[in-house]
Amino acid sequence: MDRGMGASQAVTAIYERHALGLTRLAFLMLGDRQAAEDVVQEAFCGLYRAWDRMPDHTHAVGYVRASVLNGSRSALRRSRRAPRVLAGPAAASSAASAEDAVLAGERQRETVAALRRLPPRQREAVVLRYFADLPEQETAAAMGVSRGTVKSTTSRALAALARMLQEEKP
Amino acid sequence: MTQLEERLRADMRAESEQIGPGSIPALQLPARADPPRRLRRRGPRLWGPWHWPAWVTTLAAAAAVVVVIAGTFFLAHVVSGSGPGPSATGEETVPYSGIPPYYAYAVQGDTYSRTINGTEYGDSVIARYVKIRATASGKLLRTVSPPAPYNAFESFAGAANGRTFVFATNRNRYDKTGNEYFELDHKTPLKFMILRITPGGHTQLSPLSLPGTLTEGQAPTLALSPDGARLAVAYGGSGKPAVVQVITLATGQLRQWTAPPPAATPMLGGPGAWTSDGRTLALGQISVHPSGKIRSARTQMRLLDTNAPGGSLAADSKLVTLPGTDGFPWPFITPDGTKLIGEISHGPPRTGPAIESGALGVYSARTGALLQVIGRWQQHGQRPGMLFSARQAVVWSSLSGSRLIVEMPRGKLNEVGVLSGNTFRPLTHVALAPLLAAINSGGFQTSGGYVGFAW
Repeated sequence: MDRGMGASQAVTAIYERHALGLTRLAFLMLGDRQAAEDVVQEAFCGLYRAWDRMPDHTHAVGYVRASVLNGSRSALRRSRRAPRVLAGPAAASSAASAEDAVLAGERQRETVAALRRLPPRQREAVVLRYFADLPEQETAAAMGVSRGTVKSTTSRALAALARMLQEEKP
Repeated sequence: MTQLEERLRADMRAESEQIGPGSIPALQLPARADPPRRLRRRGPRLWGPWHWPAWVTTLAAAAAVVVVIAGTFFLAHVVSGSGPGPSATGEETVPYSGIPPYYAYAVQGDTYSRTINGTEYGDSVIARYVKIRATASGKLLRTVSPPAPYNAFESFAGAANGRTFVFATNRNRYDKTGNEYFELDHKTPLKFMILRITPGGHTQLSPLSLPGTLTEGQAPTLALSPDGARLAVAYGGSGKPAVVQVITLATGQLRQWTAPPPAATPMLGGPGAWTSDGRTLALGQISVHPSGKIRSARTQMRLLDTNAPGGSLAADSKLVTLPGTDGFPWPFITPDGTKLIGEISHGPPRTGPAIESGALGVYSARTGALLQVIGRWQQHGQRPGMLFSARQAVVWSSLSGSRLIVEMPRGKLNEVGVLSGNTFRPLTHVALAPLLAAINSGGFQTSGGYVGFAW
């Protein structure tokens, strides 16, 4: 990032490029759009405050991604319970449809519900690896753990998900 | 890649796409923590709360707020070179002075909702909670959720003392997939809660019992009296009797005014419904034809004397018609009761590189005559950040209306700020400012997916 560029401009430019993806990531972590947006806003405000102290702005995206994960963890700790809507609200209709779209929606709901039942660290690993498509090294950096921990955490998460979704173990 | 991994990838992607491109709020950066280097040697940096040691912040929160604000404007003056630096304190230099210390807001995050056969589709079922924040610092005081099995906020209202809020919660039905659609529950009685903020900044939330029941189907609107002691509720009209109630919260004592059909629907705008003496209640009214078409072309307001014992709405109130307005029925009366303020009509927004414009009209509460036009605005071209069309509304007023908090279309957002005459100054410490793109300050309706807040 150009050092000559003002912090405000630089951070805003990063926000414009990455806010959508990071908000989606936080949303998958939290199951709550507003909370996700709050976490992302906070993370970018933190980046802005830290901008002049950062030795290398090429790592700004990684920095803010880690902040989003930290913020998500804090939000989860505060909530102390699974998000209401995504934890499985009461059904309005009991009639199952054979339509593909409905089935796809049902499958997606089950996947997301299972994801939300994972411990936060396992959820982070899964979201970073399979949603954000980060390699193990970047996942480790974002989570603040070693590469080996990413491997073991992801493996445990997949095993748990497979059990929950009643699928074959990967 | 295994089947499970493929499934995870596809389903997480689909789930995340509920958050669509273009729906992300603009970034709202705080006042800069670090002053420009050329100013750094001047002494302590006073314009960023994060520079205070924790114990100082804790012990001197109120003072810090003032310092932050003063510092912010000091910085603004010095950096821009447009002013002489901080002048004596006053409403022009300290915009938070005199403004209620706390505000409540709810965000639906609903940008794509639509209604088909009475069922609302979209992502507005997410995040049903209200947050209370400090106006000056944006500090979060409390997040309020509906008491289970209730899961939505029908509306809420704040008192002018800035320390009392009332919430009406509802129970909606969600479909099996959780986020696809929900049905409003029109029949279950709403549950009410009241939140009080102590002088020490602590919150006390408790259930609130009201005489009788209210339902979502009645579409009630609310307004708390300035001291937070009485709650006004309005509903009905348009084929049904119009009802206005004033309830003393401590005792449950009820005064009620009604108007038989065909009465217009009375509507309370929340923050601007009461005069500061707690006597006059300003109600907007809207006349809806059975076909659903709105009949009134101009805003009409009914000024009700709540000292009257109750009975006929027409007998105890005065009707004022505001010329040049567009019939949008959110009333606002200045606390001294002398003026009514409303959005002046402007053409419907056009697409493409068109111009939207608007202004607020200040009217005599006695005669309805237009006294002044303030806060003119205009926008060129499309504003992709807007979730709904531009909107300008008053959400708080000083005693005489010389200083207002308004929503003001600016850039890609409806910003919230202080309007003095024609000078608008955004409230940058309102944490929600970047999200206030789709707003309905008059006791918001969750079913519409609005952002709502109460001061």
